[in-house]
Amino acid sequence: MLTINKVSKTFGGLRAIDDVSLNVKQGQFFGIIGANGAGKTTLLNLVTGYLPPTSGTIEFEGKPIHGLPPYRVAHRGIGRTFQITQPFAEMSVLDNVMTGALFSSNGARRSLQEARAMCDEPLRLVGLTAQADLQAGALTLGGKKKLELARVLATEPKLLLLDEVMGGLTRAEIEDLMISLRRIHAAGTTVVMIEHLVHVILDLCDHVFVLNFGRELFRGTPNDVISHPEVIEAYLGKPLTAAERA
Amino acid sequence: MSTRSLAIPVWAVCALVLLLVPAYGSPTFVDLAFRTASLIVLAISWNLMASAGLISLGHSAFFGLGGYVGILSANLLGAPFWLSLVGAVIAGTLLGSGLALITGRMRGIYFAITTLAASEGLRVIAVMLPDLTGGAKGAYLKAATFPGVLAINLAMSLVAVAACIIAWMVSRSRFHYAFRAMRANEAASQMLGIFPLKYRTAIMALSGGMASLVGGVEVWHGGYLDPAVAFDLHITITSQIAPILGGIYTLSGPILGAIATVFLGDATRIALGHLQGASLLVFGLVLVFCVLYLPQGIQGGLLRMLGKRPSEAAAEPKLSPTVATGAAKP
Repeated sequence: MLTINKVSKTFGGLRAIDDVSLNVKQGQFFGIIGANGAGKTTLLNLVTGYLPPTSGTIEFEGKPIHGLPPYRVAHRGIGRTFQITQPFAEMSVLDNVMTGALFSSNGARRSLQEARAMCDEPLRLVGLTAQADLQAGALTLGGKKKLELARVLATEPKLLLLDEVMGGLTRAEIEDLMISLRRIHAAGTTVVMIEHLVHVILDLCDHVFVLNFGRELFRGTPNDVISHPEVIEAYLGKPLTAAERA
Repeated sequence: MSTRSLAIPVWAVCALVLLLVPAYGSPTFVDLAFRTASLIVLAISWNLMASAGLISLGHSAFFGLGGYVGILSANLLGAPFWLSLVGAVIAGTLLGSGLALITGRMRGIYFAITTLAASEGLRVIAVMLPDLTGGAKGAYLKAATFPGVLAINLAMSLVAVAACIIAWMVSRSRFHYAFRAMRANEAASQMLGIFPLKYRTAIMALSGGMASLVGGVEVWHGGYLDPAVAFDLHITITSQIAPILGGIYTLSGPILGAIATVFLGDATRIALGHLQGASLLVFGLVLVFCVLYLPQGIQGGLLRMLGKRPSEAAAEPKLSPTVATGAAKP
């Protein structure tokens, strides 16, 4: 579904992404992990058109998408949340989500009422129904993370890219959100998730890709990855038991 | 909710008054209505662009262009009143969309300065083409058929009512969502499928057409135009003071603000007319007062008095939208 082929991105002398190739198949729940600065968010920025790759190609459903601006990537059916949340602070939570429903590839044909009706489901999935009329800027960090997810779900993405969507959430909220993500995935959305919380990756993902200093370090099933000595050394830095506690 | 159900009849009466004054009002009142209507349109036009995060410092560019298209089409081509107004709207629409395409992704202060430069540039062009525009000496309207004072005053009232209706329609359309999203975060809005340039071009074409139309009507009203009048900084300033005073990003804000601005201008001229620059001083003081104590403008203040929370659009006015969004920060 998503094919990243020998993609590199350099910022001056820094090779932020160095010859990365990966392939996300339809229906996968794909995890990307790596230490801070490994290039995870840069990789998402390359896929979604916020940055052009220095070299290499990116294809979605067999068609190249590198070089497309973000809104056209979105129209192809790729949705993305931002690690640093980007809510439209002066709009209500509901209006934020409606914006997703109005401007997606199917959104142009929707009336405001239809778009409004579409928002109930995403809001319920992330647990923001009660806050729908609040101003987005008034939400807590966790609330803003949930809003990011609800807003992008309203665009009905075929491929969902999540950039640390769990950050700033409480343990109970994480459990709830994991259930929601499982449901979204079960409904047919392919998910690529960047996450620092190891237990979330272990629980949800069927494939994990490890980035280290912009290069592929390892790929495999979650259990392969966390038992791989190089990954432990590069990413977790400590033996597994200590990492799970963290 | 009662204030909401009251709103439509109140506005309808206001519109009716504005439309009836040119025919039945006393000369003073007719003049007052004309100037208020004119500023209402300019304020709505400015506010529409601001609502998409585009702060204009050159609204006189549209106003002046409309004026020149109005006077030149009448003088050189013999265009009647209505046709010259159509020309003014088309010119303003083209200038607006052209500016949108030129400014591309510029935001905040960079965008504002470009609009200022556009206005100054047009003024200089008008001065440098004396054969066409009369240069700094200006030009008098020599229309073949004069529509009459009533028609001109009525036209301005009609334009003001139409501008209010257009702004209301925009606020109930998908554009309202795109504009607010772009204002908050243009980069993030793209990930939801919004193509910013498309909406930016649309709003600037609409806004430009409105402001140019005012210029076109004004030149038939005044009968004279020179570059300093057409591209007057005063136009630029009042068309942004009015929405800021009334309540930026809101529907009623520009209208309330325009009324207040005209009233303030007249009151200071009457009371302090003998002191040069007194009216500017009062405008400045009022603006400072508003920024400090009425950050949501008259509209927000009224809503608070009625015990309602100001609308979300007005709750957090940002007069200078952030330039960098950081959405693509690695």
